Amino acid sequence: MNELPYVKDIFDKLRQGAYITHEQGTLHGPLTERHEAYAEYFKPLGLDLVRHPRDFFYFRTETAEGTPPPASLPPITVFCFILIEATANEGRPVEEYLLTERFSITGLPHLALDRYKAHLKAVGIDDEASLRKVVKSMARLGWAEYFPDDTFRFLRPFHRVFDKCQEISNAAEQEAREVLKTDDINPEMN
Amino acid sequence: MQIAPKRFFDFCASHVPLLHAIATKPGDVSEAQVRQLIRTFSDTAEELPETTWQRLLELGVLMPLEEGSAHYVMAQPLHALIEYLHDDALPTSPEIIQGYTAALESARKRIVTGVAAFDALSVALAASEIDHTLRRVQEDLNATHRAVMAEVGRYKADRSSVSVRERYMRIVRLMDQFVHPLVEIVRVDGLLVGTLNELDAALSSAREAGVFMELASVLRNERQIRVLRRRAIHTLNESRKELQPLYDVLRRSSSIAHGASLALGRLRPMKLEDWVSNYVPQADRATVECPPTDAVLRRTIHDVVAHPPQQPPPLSMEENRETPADYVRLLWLNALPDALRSELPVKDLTGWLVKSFPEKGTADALLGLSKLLFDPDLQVSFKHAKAKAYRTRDGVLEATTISISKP
Repeated sequence: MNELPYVKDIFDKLRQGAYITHEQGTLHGPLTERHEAYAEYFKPLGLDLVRHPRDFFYFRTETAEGTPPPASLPPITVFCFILIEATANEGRPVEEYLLTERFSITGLPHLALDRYKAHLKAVGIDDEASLRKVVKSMARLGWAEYFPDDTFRFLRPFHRVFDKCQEISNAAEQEAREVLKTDDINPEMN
Repeated sequence: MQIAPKRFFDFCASHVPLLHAIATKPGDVSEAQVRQLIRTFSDTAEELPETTWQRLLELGVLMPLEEGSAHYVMAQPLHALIEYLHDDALPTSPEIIQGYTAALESARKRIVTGVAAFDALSVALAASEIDHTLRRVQEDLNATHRAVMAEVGRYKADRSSVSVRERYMRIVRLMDQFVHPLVEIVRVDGLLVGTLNELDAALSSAREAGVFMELASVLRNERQIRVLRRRAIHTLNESRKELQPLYDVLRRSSSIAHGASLALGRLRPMKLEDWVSNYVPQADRATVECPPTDAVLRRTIHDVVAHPPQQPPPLSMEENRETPADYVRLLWLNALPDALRSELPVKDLTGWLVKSFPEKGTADALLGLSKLLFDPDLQVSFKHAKAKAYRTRDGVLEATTISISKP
């Protein structure tokens, strides 16, 4: 086990709750090559080393799953969902657009529609300054990179938001299918 | 009325935008709509709108939907020509191709019958029909490919605000209603190829039997079959290759957008805590302050305490003097039909069972009832009366009256 390279650096990075993406080439390379060996190494400590299908790594801990999310996460989630919906309504490919474009805070669609404003208000966001705070929180989570010119771009770990959206959609479709199944026509009712 | 081809084509050549505009209007067009299109697309300085309108009718460009109607459709041959020239095409439905396959099959049967009866004329007519049908199959498959290419082109070029959902639905419609079912029909072991193979054999036998007077026609058919067999699947595979990446991207995009919209829609009707627990991604910082955590320590200690694993229970190798309860139940069940036979006919089977064996519980009573109901030697009948309650040792059974008579 000791021959795993950069194990200390990898541990130090991940234990802070950060992600290791291909941008951290020296750490990402060994993790990609020997993911299972690293996962085996961290397992006795109760740390589940997850390799996301989009090729980034993070720790999942039992305590993190059980505890309520930090207060910054609901506003971030609403912010992201609005951006996803607005992107789709404009007919753009959601993932490609959000992960390749650089966005300016002033050009965001969030305050352009009353419906979006109402959603944001429900999580305590009502102006551009609060939107900026949300973006900075995302940058702390490792989902985005904030630039001094008041612009930002999403990073690869943002895929976890996409995953959640798909999970919600799949669950809703499953629910709908089950409703249809249980509502079979009873011939005796005719 | 005979239409002079030169006059017809001269008119078409000088009114291309107008004809294309009429052709692309879905369904029929009213006279008012056509007159509006004439004003928009024709050079009114060169030709009066009324003249253009009259010529459209005289040359048979527009046909009234029915006698005296003010609604018109473009003549089908011209419509097809314009679609061809503008590379506009509609995808072919699988039902149409199935119709062609049925037509080919019918022609094949006529060839087989004609060969058997040495009827050269009916063989020749069937071969001519085959020729025509094969051309139309190929043309329609090509049209499907052109329609797919046009949709893909529109998708790539059109950056206007058409929602992801709508684009997805368009691509899904093409893929699920046209391309996939057509691939099923034209694949190697599919319906079309099977029909073509049989047709090929029928034509060969017609040629070999010398029934056919005009050999060129048979040879042309055989050539067409070879081309169609090869190109049909190729054309559709090309269409599928064009659509598949868009289909995948749009399916994921649509699902992501659907999930986001759904979650947003439920934000205000739900309590925030409930919304957070359902819709916020578990993607926060899984910070590890001082590993190993308490949970890990607890589990490790438990593993140590639980080690070594417990011995399995010792297996008794000696015979027990007590008769097993299941065996007693089996004996009772096996003896039940004989016990009943001596008391036949029984008007209320459930009542007889619970009275005769009051010591039996509900589970045993049900087992007994099943045993008797399915006994092939007993004739059981159900009375459609109100359900009655029967008390057993440990519960109550509710059932309608079941009577049993002698076999």
